[in-house]
Amino acid sequence: MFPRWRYRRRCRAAARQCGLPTVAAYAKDCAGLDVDKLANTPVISVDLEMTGLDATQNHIIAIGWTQLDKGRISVASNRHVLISTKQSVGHSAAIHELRDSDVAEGVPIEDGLEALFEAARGRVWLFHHAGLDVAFLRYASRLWAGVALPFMVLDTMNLELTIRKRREQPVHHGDLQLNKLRANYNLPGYTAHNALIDACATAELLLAMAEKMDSSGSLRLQPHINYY
Amino acid sequence: MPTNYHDISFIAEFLHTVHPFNSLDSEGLHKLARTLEVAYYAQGKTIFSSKPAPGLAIIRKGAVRLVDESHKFLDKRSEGELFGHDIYFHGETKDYIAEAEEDCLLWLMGVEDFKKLRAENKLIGEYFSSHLKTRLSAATEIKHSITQVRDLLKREPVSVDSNMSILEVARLMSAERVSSVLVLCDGNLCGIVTDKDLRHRVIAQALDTGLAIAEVMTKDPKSVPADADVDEALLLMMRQNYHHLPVMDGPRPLGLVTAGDILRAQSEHPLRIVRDIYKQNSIEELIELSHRLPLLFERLVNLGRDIEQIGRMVTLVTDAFTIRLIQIAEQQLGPPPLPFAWIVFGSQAREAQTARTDQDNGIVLERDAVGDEVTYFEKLSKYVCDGLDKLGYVYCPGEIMALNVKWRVSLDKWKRHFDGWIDQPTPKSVMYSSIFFDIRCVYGECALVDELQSHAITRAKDNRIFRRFMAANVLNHKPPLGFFRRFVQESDGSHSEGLNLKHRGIVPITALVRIRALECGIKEANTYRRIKLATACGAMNEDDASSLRDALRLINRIRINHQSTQVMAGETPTNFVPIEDLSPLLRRNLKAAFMLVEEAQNALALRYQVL
Repeated sequence: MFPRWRYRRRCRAAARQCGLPTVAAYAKDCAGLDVDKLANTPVISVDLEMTGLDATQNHIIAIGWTQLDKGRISVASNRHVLISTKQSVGHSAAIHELRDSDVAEGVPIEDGLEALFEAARGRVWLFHHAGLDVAFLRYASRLWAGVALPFMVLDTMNLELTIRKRREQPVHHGDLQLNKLRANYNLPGYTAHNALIDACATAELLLAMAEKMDSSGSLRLQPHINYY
Repeated sequence: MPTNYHDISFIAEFLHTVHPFNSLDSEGLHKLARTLEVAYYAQGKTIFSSKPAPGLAIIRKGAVRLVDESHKFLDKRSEGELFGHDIYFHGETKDYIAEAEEDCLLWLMGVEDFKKLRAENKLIGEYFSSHLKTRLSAATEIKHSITQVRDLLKREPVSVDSNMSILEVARLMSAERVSSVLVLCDGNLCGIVTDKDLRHRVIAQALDTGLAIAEVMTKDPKSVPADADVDEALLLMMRQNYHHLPVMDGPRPLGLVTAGDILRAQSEHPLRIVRDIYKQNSIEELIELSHRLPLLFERLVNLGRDIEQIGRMVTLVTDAFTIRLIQIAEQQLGPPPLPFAWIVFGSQAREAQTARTDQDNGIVLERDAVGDEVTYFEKLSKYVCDGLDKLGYVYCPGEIMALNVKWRVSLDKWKRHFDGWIDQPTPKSVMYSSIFFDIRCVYGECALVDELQSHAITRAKDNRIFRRFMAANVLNHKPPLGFFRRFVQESDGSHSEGLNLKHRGIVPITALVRIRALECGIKEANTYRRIKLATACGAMNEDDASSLRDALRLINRIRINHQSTQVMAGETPTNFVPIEDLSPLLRRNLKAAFMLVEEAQNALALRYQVL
């Protein structure tokens, strides 16, 4: 229970240190957050688009998220926020199809984070391949809030690895890509991609995995949580 | 941070393919999307029972089985289809349980939101409160801009009284600079006079121009109402070879349209080819023209023409080729030694031809041909049937062609053919009846055909045993409802062979309607018009009539669209439509159409006591 204890202590510390009301509220609630079955655990599924892979050098240009409650995704909670940045999207445009002109229409990163952490209050974070996205969010939120915010995270890529290890199935290169995994779980393929669609796609994948891992719907999420 | 359209447009996009939500505008779709929750059910799980009302579920992916309390199968639903609402199974609503047949991703709407949606949107409210008949009719409504003949009228008509002298009328026409006038008898339209009439009937005959115009007018001309579709008017003129058509507002003439007016208004009208056909003087030139047929078909389909009219227009072209071939043959062989009529059967008779079609035709002679007469008609038939084959209307595999001496006989022999089939119904004669009862005269002495039809129909109408055989034959063509169940199971991507929409859909409807038409002694061959006439005579009730009509329209629309795609891809058009190629919406509607056909068949079985 060491990581969990440390996470809670960091939550309380952040709540004390940060003057921003949204951050303080997020930190206060994250300290009391308990993870149980999916049906009882509020989740926020998030995906980011960035100008590159280095959290200290590159910028977030889009944030997409959706919320899960009682094991269902609420379409009304879908958000897609474009972030304005002075850094050119450069070659990364080929991946996320956001051009400098699109990004110019965005909001400042502070406003984007404010909305995100408001929506994430009292929720477990969900990513597909959490490492990179969380690194960007931690770095950006430290600049914004002045404290390193703690994250309690589910990762569909990790979940799949656990499942395969349990079944002693090998993992080949590319097996864990979001779209490939979704096809394995009979989920529809999305032709378009943006931060929101990928966040929704990840949320749907979590629903499918939870059903498949325990068809009674009582899969315990706690063993699959990572703390950042 | 407020939501914006961007947030859910990918959800709205899918909703737009789901009936009835495709009737919503962008704002309505986004509002609807915001009420949804996404849920996942693994294969075998029970999703919910329809009691108490669970709200509405949209299948985003997967398949769902609906069963009753005793677990009896009721229906299957797949991607893009709905459940959760009141569903009619074979005409009645039942409580049902929904189970995941495959892993399912569902979009769910709560009871309250569903209630609100129905209350706020009239079309959607009607959809969920009505029987599938009404639904199908909404689904076949295809938006297309019909131009009415009213829009083509340029000026008030010039009309004269029937007592006016020919000279006065001619002077008036000159002063008004018109080439035709309407003639009124006691204020009602009773005739029409054109430049051509004055030339042929007055000057060439050296007729006294002091006579009343009534003497030389064309009496009781065909007219159209002002709100008639332009294409309808053009079809009428081309079929009857009229050049001028009075346009009426009730009893009052509003003006005149000419075929030229219509063709000019729609430059490049597909039916221009009909005029060109009549200008050709050799089979080679006709073959050259026939190369335009694939493009013509594609244009008719893609211009969003009314589905009933596409069949009629395509047939009009076939008729024109046939008539022109006969005329050229007559030029080469000399005038016919005795009166005859060229008749067509099957889809050409029904004016329901599509891209793929073979020839079914015959000749009715006024009396038995003797000596050289036999040779004459043999040569004529050979010229026309061979010509049609070269134009792409391939020989009938069953040899029902004028080329076959059996179908090139006198009126009396034709009557005896029909008597034989009707009095001694055998499977073969029932098959013949289903072909030969759809009959239409395209050239020559059409009175012969009329007499033949009157004879055959009277016989058939009085012979219930014969019609019972026909009814039994109808029931041999069951609509493929099982196919849809199977299809759901085949959704792993393996291709099914496709559905023969002609044999499984159009043939059963045509056969059903044919019997109803026989009950009333209707000579008309076109299925849509037969439905109308059979309803007027009481053999079909309004509800069944409109259901069958909608079902036929939908099946034909899918078939014709499919063929148009094939033609454009340079493939040979077929009647096989791979169900995988249809959108969930079309699939759902197609299934509903087949269910209506099944209902109508059951009613027929009940009436004729055949099961």
